[in-house]
Amino acid sequence: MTFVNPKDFIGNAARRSPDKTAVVFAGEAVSYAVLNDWIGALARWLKVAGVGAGDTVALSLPNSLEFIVAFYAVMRAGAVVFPVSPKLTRKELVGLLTDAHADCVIHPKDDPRPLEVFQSADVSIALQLGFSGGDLLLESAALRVRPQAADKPVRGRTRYQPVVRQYSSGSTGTPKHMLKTSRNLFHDAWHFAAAFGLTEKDVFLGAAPFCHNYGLLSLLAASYLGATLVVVKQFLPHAVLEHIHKDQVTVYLATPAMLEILADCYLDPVPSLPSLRCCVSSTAPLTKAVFERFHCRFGLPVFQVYGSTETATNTVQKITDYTDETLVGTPMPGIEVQIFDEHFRRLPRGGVGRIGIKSSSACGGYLHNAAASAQTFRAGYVFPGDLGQLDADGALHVLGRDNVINVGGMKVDALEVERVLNSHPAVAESLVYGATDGNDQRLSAAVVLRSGGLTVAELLDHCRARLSEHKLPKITHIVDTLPRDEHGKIVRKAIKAHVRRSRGADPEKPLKSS
Amino acid sequence: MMNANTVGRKVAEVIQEVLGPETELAGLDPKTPLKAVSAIDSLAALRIMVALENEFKLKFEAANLEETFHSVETITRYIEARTGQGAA
Repeated sequence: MTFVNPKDFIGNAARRSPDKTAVVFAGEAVSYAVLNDWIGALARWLKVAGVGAGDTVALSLPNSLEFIVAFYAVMRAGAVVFPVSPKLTRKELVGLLTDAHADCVIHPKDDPRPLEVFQSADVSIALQLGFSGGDLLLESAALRVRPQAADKPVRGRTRYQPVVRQYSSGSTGTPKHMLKTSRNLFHDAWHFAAAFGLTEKDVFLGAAPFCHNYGLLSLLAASYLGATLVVVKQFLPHAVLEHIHKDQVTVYLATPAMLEILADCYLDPVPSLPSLRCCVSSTAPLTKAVFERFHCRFGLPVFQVYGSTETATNTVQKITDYTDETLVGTPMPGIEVQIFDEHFRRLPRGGVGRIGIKSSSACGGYLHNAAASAQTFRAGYVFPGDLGQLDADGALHVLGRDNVINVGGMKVDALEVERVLNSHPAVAESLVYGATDGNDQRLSAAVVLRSGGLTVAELLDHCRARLSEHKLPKITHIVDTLPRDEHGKIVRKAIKAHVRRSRGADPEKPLKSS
Repeated sequence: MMNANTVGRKVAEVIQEVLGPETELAGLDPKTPLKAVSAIDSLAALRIMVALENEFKLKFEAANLEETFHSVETITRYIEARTGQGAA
């Protein structure tokens, strides 16, 4: 493996195969040579505007050609790229830009948001980016006078220079910022390409949002290989299937929610997708039911990768006989996965504990958050906050998120209780949490049933046979769903409000058992 | 053949089914923008679209999707136009 700086991915591919299609977007194919020219033009414009080393440039763009040009141009200009979701509320966006001290923001040319949004985050330059008739269109607004920052020297080895700023999805709390180096991005792309044996002949589908680590991986891996990337601005099932079929897509980085929609949407007839050899799922657990519906409909397996924003992708599961929902596969080449106890001591194989990852694609810590860094980054390992187990074959099983509830001084692992609840055949899924009762926490459970008929008393009898008394839920709510985010991931912190809403919706429902 | 009221009722039923009983839609005015319903995020909107496609055996065109999914009334109008249903 030879290190390639990600800022050179496009330039290298343009030198090797200038006429090869780099990107397909909105029905237009763009070659590597043309893409390289556009990136160079924007990088020069940024440098002239004084954007360079030490600056942060936010990209508030959807998946698009504009995003790709801006992403690589900012890196080429020597600044740090900060992709942010274009779906953020004004308050969220201003908060993130302010926290990142963003100097410049690049946004779409048809952006309805007023410039005051960026002004209130103390951004110096707002640059609208678009394309028209094959030309790159730039329209800038200087929001405040900024010191001339051009030609700041870049010190140190370039592979350790920060090039991308990201924030965690916040499933364990508020978003945490981190910086990724050139080395991190290169290894992320390399690990993924090596794990699946991908080459420049592959055609990637970029449907997951580029502003998140997993979506960005499709862009990085395709550019690293000099492959083709078909960009989808918004996930719509029929459009995605049409792209896979028409553009002969071979690699699709999907989410479980996307796969479920593709498995269930109305199709007459169901298209065959013979080109798709690498359909991958990540960001949330893939259930057996979704795997089977997708497989049954398209005749294709779904592979899983496991990772986090902090570590990028770490393990890969390529088993086509999907019988164990916890299995996320073996570490990718060059990545080490170990299991640790609560005191961060390594456990022998088979032990259940915190998942620790050592990877060249992992960042070094959170910015301005020493307490969170100390919890997550220890002794060269990153602890994403999940509990797991390595089996006899060295494959990783993710058993859930690290979630310990203190009940009257006794620590209860919420995931252990959930596993027992879920083992009842009438239970579809559950979430165990602590409800505050004075200074104490009452162990509570929200349970979704597969079908009616099971009473709370029967469910507790099932638990009583398998759990100590203090691990039995004291309050059990039968609910219709668990709260999830837009990626289908369960949002633990939203459970109390979710249960309150459920009770309000149907006060007659048998909700509580003490 | 369904009439306009029947299609509209069915659309509302499908949306309710997707969102689950914890989201009360019984009093929802057909003209109310669906964006105003907090339970309908982008993923829920996709699930509603998929459920409606399966219910009415049609595909929603990607163009003007935002306008089509503005409200129960606009969805109903689209389905009537596509299926020929709606004539009383």
